[in-house]
Amino acid sequence: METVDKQIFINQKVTVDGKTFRQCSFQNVTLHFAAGMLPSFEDCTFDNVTLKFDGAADNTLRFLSGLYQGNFSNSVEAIMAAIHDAQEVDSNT
Amino acid sequence: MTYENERFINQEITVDGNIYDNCHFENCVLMFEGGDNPVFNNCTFQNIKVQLKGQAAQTANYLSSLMASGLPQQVETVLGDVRSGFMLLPDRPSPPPAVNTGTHYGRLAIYAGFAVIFVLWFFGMYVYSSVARPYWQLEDGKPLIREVSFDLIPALPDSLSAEYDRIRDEQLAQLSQIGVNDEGGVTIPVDDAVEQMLANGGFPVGSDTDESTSEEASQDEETSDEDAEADAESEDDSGS
Repeated sequence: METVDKQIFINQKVTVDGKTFRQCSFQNVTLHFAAGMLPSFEDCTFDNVTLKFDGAADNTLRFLSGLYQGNFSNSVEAIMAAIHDAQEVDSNT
Repeated sequence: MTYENERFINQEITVDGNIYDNCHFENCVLMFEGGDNPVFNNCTFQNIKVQLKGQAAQTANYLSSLMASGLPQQVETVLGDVRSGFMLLPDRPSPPPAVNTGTHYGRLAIYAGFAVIFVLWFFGMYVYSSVARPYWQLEDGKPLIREVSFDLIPALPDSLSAEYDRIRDEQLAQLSQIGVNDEGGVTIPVDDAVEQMLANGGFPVGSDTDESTSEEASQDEETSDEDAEADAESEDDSGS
């Protein structure tokens, strides 16, 4: 797992899969996630950051959105509630 | 994989990439692992649960970690897009980064002012030149444009006009008739001359004929000289 210490990211696209960011600063940055290993952010600061999803992560959000539009909003809301409460969603395969 | 007219009861079904047509799901758990999205056509559902597995669960956990890492607003934006169906729309180009935008409104106003002034000046000059027309005359007093009245143009005298008509008729006659011009030469119609020229392969027209006629003329001259000498001798004889 790659560790990034005390780095300043400005006006960049940063792929975060499997990385640990420590005391980093993100300014005008797009964080890309492709559903790889989870990143971690320790003592980082964020300014004007946007989130971008690729691959399986993008598929997942589209799947949830499709379910939400197809009368499965309750099930999706339950997943969102877990996300909102910073709870870990079942990751067993 | 495609399923048609099937009934799924009390099952855990991994739906990634599958197509379900006219299927029935009852007391099932639909599991998704982040693969291609499934398609459900004319399906019925009863007591269904949704569960994320594998990379799909990683995505949810990523959002959850961002929520705890100080990016709750960005996560809420993503969840809002999921609710609104924005995620289902085709990908669109992302907006330009904020660094390419600026707040130099004063400079923008100056440039816009110059542009407006130029447009107004151009339009004003166009109207002034079209309506007022300040340059009707050159600097030395000569008119730039002189419109001569038709009445001021002198009429051609009748006598001169008749002479012109006569010369024109003569020239037309020379072009269309065989005749003799003022210098004693023979004139033939232009069309005939062109036909002869083509028949002979070019100028001069009938050169052989000219040579033969000159020889004949010289022979005639010699004959006439001999006749004259003979006449003179006969006169002398008669006189003597």
